[in-house]
Amino acid sequence: MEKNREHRKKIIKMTMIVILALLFIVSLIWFTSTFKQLYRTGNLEVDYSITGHPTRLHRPITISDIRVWMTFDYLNVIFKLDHLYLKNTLAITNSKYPNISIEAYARRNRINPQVLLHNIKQAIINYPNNK
Amino acid sequence: MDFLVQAIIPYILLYKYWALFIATFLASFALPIPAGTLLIASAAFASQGYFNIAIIFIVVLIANIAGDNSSYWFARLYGRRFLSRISFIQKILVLKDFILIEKGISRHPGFIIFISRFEVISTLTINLICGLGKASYKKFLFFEVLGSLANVIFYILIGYSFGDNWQAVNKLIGNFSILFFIIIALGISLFWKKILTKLKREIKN
Repeated sequence: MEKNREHRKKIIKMTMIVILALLFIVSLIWFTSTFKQLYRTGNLEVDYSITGHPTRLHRPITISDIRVWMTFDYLNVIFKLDHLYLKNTLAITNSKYPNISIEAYARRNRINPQVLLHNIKQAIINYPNNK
Repeated sequence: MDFLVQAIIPYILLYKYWALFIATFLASFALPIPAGTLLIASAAFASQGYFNIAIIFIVVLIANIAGDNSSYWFARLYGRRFLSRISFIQKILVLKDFILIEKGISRHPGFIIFISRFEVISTLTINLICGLGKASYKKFLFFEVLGSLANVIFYILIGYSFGDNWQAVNKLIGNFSILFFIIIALGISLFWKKILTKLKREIKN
């Protein structure tokens, strides 16, 4: 009886170890395949000019990278926009501009954030220096 | 990008180093905030010229060390009194296994303190256990500073190196670390009895 229980315990333990090892191998394969995929799509290009500041990025930020959590001030700096360009183009009256995120501004003014995001992207595309 | 990060990042863009300091401090002190992701993002913003990388390094390092030390001393001075008010934690605190682990970590805190700095939940847990177990403060401080330094350099290098691609890299690291910790947790539970027996033997000696 006791021997049987010990034997069963050993089998359970061995099964667990095999499952763990398999899980580890699967996660490693998954990690490398995701890494490869990201690398192929150009999402994992390292900027080697680490010592210089500001650095030159291999894949510069584009309009499609704009997200609702970004602030207007951040967009102005990153896309080198005139401080008042977005304010005037989008007729922003909020006193917190440019220190407000796109999402917060949309919420306060009851605008659909995705519509605002689209308008911002259009405004940046139409910025004189981008033409 | 997960919800919590998406909620915090606008504040980092708005209040810059102050927000980063507060978020990192809280992550080291008591709240499971994804400080690593925030650091990767901030370093990426620095690579774009929006932040200064040297200031980020100093601010985050100080916040990490301050948060960890506050957490350690809070646990050491008030931990038992405070936690024993919560009934289920009180039950854990008096468990034989918990006391054994507490003693084991207090005797050899080095590696575990160092490695735990790379994951927010493990940082909080180890700070708490070291404080409750009254681990040597000198040892805690030394390995905590060493771990924080390695952790900050690691995340800053990732964020600064990958720049605009930080979200893709962060997703990759995030997903992999979840799997990694599941494997570690399963491994520990599998060898739980062996670990405890080894600890018992070490403490007896």
